[in-house]
This record gives sequence, structure tokens and C-alpha cells, in this order.
Amino acid sequence: MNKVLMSVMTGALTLAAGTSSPALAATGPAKYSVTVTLNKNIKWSDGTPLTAQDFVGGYDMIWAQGYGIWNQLTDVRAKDSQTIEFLLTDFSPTILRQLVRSNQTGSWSQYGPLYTQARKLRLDGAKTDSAEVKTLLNDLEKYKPNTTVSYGPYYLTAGKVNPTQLELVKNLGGFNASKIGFDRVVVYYGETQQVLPLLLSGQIDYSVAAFTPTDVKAIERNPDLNLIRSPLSVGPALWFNQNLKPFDRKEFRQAVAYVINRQDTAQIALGTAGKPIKYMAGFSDLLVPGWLNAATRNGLNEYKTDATKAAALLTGIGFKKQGNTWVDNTGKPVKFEITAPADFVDFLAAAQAVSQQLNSFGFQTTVRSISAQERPTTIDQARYQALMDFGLISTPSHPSTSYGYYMTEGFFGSNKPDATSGSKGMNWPLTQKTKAGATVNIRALIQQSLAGDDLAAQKTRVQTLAQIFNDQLPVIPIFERYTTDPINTKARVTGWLPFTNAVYKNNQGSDNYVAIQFLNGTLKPIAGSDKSFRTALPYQQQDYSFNFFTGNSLQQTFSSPVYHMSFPPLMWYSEAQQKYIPAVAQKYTVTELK
Amino acid sequence: MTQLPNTAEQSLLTESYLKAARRRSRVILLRQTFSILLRMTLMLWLVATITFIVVRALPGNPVDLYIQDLAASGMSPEEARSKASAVLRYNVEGSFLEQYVQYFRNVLRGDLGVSSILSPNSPVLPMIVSRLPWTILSVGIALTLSFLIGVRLGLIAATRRHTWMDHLISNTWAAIDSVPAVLLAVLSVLLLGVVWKVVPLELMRGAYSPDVMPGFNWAFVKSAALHYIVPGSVYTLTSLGGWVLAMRSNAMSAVSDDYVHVARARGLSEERIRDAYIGKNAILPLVTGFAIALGFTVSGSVLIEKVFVTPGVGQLLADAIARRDYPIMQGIVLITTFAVLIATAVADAMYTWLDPRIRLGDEAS
Repeated sequence: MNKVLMSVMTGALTLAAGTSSPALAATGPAKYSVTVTLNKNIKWSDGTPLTAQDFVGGYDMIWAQGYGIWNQLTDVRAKDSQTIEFLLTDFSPTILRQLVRSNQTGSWSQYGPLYTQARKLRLDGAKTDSAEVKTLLNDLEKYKPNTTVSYGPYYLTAGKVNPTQLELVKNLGGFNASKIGFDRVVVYYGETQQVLPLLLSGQIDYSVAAFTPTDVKAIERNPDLNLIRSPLSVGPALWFNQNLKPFDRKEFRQAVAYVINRQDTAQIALGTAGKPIKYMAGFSDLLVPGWLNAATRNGLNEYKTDATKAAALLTGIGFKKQGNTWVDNTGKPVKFEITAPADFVDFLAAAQAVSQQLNSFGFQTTVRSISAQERPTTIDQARYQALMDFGLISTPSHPSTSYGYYMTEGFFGSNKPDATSGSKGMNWPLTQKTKAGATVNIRALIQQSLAGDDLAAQKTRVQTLAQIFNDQLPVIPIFERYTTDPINTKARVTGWLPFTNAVYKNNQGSDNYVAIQFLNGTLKPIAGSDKSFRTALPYQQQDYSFNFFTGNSLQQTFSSPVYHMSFPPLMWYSEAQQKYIPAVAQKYTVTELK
Repeated sequence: MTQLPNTAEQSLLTESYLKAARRRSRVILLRQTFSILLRMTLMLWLVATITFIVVRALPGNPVDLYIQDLAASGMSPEEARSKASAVLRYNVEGSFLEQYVQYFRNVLRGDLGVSSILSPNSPVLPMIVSRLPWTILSVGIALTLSFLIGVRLGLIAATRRHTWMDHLISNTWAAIDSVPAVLLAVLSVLLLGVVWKVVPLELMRGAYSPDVMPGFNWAFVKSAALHYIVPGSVYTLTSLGGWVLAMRSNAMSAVSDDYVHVARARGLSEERIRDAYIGKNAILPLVTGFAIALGFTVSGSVLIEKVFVTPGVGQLLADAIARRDYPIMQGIVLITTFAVLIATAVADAMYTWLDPRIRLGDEAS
């Protein structure tokens, strides 16, 4: 019987720990103030002006809903109609990102009464699991408007939504609406297999669907289509269950790293969309120059394929080669299974390629596929010997997300050697030595690498983490995924920035380069076209709501760029410039309170 | 010497015999009805219980899978957990037994619960019911067509065995039957819509055009019919082969039965022998299969719904399994079981009607 069933039987299945707490809202005095200044003259699609009060109300509502940002927030207030002030007990790049980039809001004209109730409850000290807050959330659920009032240049309304396609209507007073030449945005429903025919027949201008290498070849043959190859900042790595021998030996892991040909594996798994990892720093190569100084970078071992070095490392820990087979120090053949999620086709292909390379070297490995639904349990319970899972989870703008994912609990309990009961996950020791010989706790170091607004101090800690990672290889990164986003440059849209432009260094899912070009008016309709912009995504086809805040909100099933056409962010993050650039907001300032 | 009854006595005897026979028939009917209802109730309870347990034993829980989806979109763990917490409000309260009892109490009241993940807090029953008409109509029509055409072709092949017609029919449909349905569907869209451009892609997306209003109006009916041509054809083609081959096999056995020789000796036409003698007997075993397949139409066809972008029950079930939306999974399985049980009961009744031997056998017992 699995853990979930057991949990359900005992009534213990709730949200993962740390997601929300009944007493949500930070306690203690505020230590930081972040002020954000909105641009003027932006109007909601119902004609009311966008003001700081809309955001204050939105934050009150997500307090009631239990959003984690309120673990650091003590208050959000409108200093004037254009200025929002966030008061925080703590500060970090990820907190800043949530404030200026991630959290959009619904209009005061639609949610004003509910915002007011939420604020009153919060200021009265109500707990988020109190009866009053539950009543408020039930009232929120019951509110079913027939349009999602938006401050972006387009909005969503009933009558324009169909299971096969929907249309975003122009909000003439919305953000940058006067600069954008498209009268409407058509969004076709579809995942890859439904999108490909539309794309090949010229009906889509941009798609974020995950195309297979075969699809990519078909797209490349179409003269109207081009492919944007930008970083996704994710990619697979080979994990080892360090509860088992010999996976607990770093020499063994280093030897495996020398055996794997990352270039070949990337090519086999993802074609030109897979870029082999160079630095082996534990996070995206693209972030390395910004976070690691030259001395640290030069000191990293790139683990270029080298069977001789691998053999030397293995021999050093008592392993021997008998005939074509490596045996361990007890005389048993080195034999293990690599588990890989079958739904992530490139991960499975990478596992198969790595398995073949290891077998050619003299190990005996096999590949076992699991469904993606089994990943969380497999990771949490360490139900693997070796595992092909994520080695890069780089949410802009900080590399700590990757470290946190596999070095500590991550999303699903990846590594918890200090657990007093139950699984220890991967069981890689959290106490490690730095290059200088100091003892550090990895969990604390990751937290410190994120703390405060002192970037130089953060970089020092990231450098230490990179050096430890590079020596220890708790996981072996293989390649980084790049997009194969097709754009149609001939049918309706022109003005695409050349692919050498720095905007394409942004992450597709986070600060989408097409969304940025669209919203700042760079993209224009081709003369004589129907002035529509057409894209596709798998939105919720039925049983949705136009309520911005509820779980069945149609808007919330959109990804970028469609989501941002209605709800652009306050600011975008530019990977190339490593800073936030204005959008709905002009600027932000961070002040440490004395 | 026994005295024969006179006409009046004969008439009385006949009447009392008929009355007794009718009484016996009513008893048999009541007994059969009661037995069917009892069997259906037990089956429903059993399937619902097994489903209740099995869906919870599937690897992966809904919250983790929701977070996994958010993570794939580039969200940080903090943001993903926050959002999951806010939008799902997911918290299974009570012990397994308490949940089980509550579930059945709700089911008896016609309440299948609310969706936990796909459309959080939306009632499950309306979600399924709103998708049923298209699913039943689309899959039902295609299934019926494939059955009718399949048994006819199978019969023709059997009665002309070892001729070019037999080889053509059986080899063609054996070949088509071996093509995965999803491949045929994808190829249809790509070839007809993209390469040859003989069918507009719009006609292969959805159940009707976005610019028509669903309802009893000509524009909608015409649009729905046009949108059905390709997906209906694909489903009919891919399910036809099974019926052709099964019917051919059954009919081949019947061709050499005594009653066929007798019919031929009586000078009946070949068409009458084929349709009324061979066909009627050969089709009997297929009736149950057809009825059960009809019952399963309520669970839809993931193939048609996925490739041709028609949101039906099949796609809802596939999404619910992928995202571990327990209430929706349970709801669809329960409704499908109910439909299959009804269809099986209808098949039993049809079988009795089609084959007098079964009716007589029941009466004799």
C-alpha cells in the first residue's frame, strides 16, 4: 500500500508542509520596505483606472487564500494612487520576484467588496483557517462574473470562448494598447499534436508547444516558419540513491561523470534543442558567468569524457575490471538500474543513452521507465538506484532553486538525510567541507545564498555551493533544454527581433521573449493581414470561471504570452541585463528599515 | 377408454392452460427482473468500492502532481506551493472508512462530489452530464455504423468464402484493424487538412464551428454534421475490422449447419438463406458484445476527443487520471458501469427475443 493511500486512510493527506499556516502573516517588525511605482494612465477593461489600491486589495485576497508570500509580508499599503508599499520581515531575490514580477491582481471594480472584507479580517488578526475567512473564500467561489476585467491590452469575456478556440478582445485603455497594432488575439486550444497541423498550415504565429525532433524537422522545412532556440533553464541529471553502495562514494559518482558523453546524450535525447552542460556548477551554464567569478569558474572540473580518469578513480576505491566487466571491492559486478519518467521523452532517451555508455565502459545497467505521476513518490521514498530527473530548476533570477531542488527537500523530498523517521530521500550528507576546509551545512548555505539584498554576499555563497557541487556531484547534470518555439514570419506578424537579441536569453516560461516583444509594440501586423495574432495553448475548455482568483479560473490556465496579454507583470526580468525592466510599473526601490 | 373433452371443455382447458402459462411467464419475468436488479445493484456497489480504493492506490497524489505541473511552467517551489494551497483548498478529511461511507451516502443522493483538481470545487455530475450528449452521439453513431456495416461485410465474406470477395474483405479489414486508431486519426488530420488540403482544418477541430450557437437550429446541426464526418469516419473505420472478422468467423460455422442444408433443399433463395438463416444465427454472439460496447460509449473515445479537440467524457476521464482527480474518476467509472449494466440487461432481453431457444429454456426450467 503506498504512502498516499495510507495518508488518505489516516486522514493525513493535506498540502505539503510549509505551504500555508493558519496564522499566516509575518510576525515581528518589518525590516524591509519595497515600494513599486505604477505607470499612469493604464485602465482596466471596464474603464476604471489601475491604481495601487487594486494591488493592495489583491494582496489582501491572497492573504485569505493562504499564499506563502504572507509569511514575509507584514502589510501592503497604497502610499498614493500609483505607489504600492510592501513591508517585509525578510528579503531575498525570490521574494522580490514575487512582488514585482509574479503576483498580478483582479480589479477593485469587480472584487472591491471582497477585498474590503479580507483587509478587515487581516487587520483584525483573523486566522486564515477561521470561519470568517472560510466564509469569505466561499463568497469568492460563488462570484461568477461573465468577464475577466483586465489591465492588459486584451481581456477575456463570455461569448468569445469556445472549446476549440477563444478570442481576447482589445482593451483600448490597457497597458501599451495604443502601441500594439493587433485588433484581437486568437488562441487555439491544443497540445502538440493538435497544434502541429495548425502551425504547418500557417494558422499560428507563435507556439510554446513541446515539439518532438521529428516535428522540428517538419517545421524547419516550412519556409514561413522559424524556430526560437532559447533556454528553458531545465534539464536532466543522473541522481544516485546514496543509501546504497557504491553510490555514496563521490569517487564513484565522479567516475560515472567521466564516462558519460554529455554531448552525445544531449544530441540523442533532444537533437539541437539539447545543450550539454559545460561547467558542472549545479545550475544553468547561462547563469554561471553572472554568479561565479573567473577564478571559481576556472577551478571547476568540467568532467570531459575520459575513460582513463574514470578507471583510475574506480581503481582508487578498490574496483577492478575483470574482462569487460567492472567489479566492486567485494568482487560483485557493478550493476544497477536507471529509473526514468517515460512521459519526459528526452529524459528516457537520455537514460537509455547513458545506460549504453556505462555498459560499454563495463558496468551492467538497465533502464526502467515510470510514469510522471510516480515521480514525486519515487523521489520522496528514494525508490530508485539511479534516477534521471531534473538537475536544473533555474527560476530566474537565482541559481539556488536548482540547489534546493536536489540538495535539500526540493518539491518532493529529494534529499533529507537528517530525517528522524521515514525516508531520507537521496541521503546525500548535508554537512560538507568547503574547498578551504570549513564545515558547512548545505541547507543553511542555500538559505544564506538567498538572504537579503547583498548580491556580493550571495555570490560568495553560491560560489561555495558550486565548488562543493562540482567536487561531490550529488547529481550529474547532462544537458540543458532549449526551446524550439516556432514563429510564423510571413502570415500576419512582422517585426520579430533577430535571434541574436538579448531578449532571447530569457526563460520561455518565466519572462517570455515573445510576450515582451508583443507587449512593447515591437511586433506589428503585416500590412493587409486581418490584424490578429494567433497562438495556441491547452486552456481549460469547460467548467471554467471568469473569476480571476478561483481554482477553476480560465485565466489561470493560460501560460505566457497569453496570460500576460491580459495581466502583464509589474516588471520583467532580463537575464541578459540581470535586472528587472519596467512594464506596468516604472520602478521599484528596496529600503532596509532601521 | 379415455373420453376426449368436448369443444367447450377444450376451450376451457386451453384458456386455463394459457392463464397458467401467462402466470408462469409473469413469475419468470418478475424473477428475472428481480435477479437483474439485484445483480446490477451488487455490481454497482462492487465496482464503486473497487474504484474508490484503486484510484487512491494509484501512484502520485493530486497536490504533488499539481505542483509538478506548476514547476514545469518555471515556477519556484515557493510559488508553486503557494498557488497549490490557494487554488486547490484540497484537504481530505476523515478516515478512509468515513470517506467511504460519506461517498456512498452522497452517491445515493445523486451527488458525485466536486472536482478537486481539474476544475476545483465544480460539481462532478454536471461536468460529466454536459459532455455526455456529444460523446454518446459521436461514439454511438460510429459504433452502430461500424457494427451494421461490419456484420454485413462479414456475412458476405463468409457466404462467398475463398472467392476474391472474401479475400478482399477479410484482408482489407484485417489490415485496417491492425493500424492504431490514433495513427489513423493523426494521419487523417495531417493528410486531409495540411498536405492535400481537401478538408479545412476547422472541420477537424471541435464538434461545431465557433461562430454557431449550440441548439436546435439548422446552422448548428449542419456544422455539427460537417465536423463529424472525419472523426466519425476514423472511429467507424478503426472499429469496423473487429466486427467484420468476428461475423465472418461466426457465419463460416453456421454455413455448414444442418438447417442451412435443409433450407437450401427446400429451395429457398441464397439471399434468404444468407440473411434469415446464416446471418440471424451468426449475429447472436455479437449482440452482447455490441450492447456492452454501446454501454461503454458513455466513457467516450479518448482518441476522437483528443485528436479532434472535442471535449467529451473520454478526454475528461483521461485528464482526471493524469491529474488524479479522484471524484471525477469515480464518477465516470460509476456512470459507465451503470450504462454497461443497463446495456447488458438490454442485450439479455434482445438475446431472448432473437433466440427462441433461450426463452423456451427458461420456461422449461
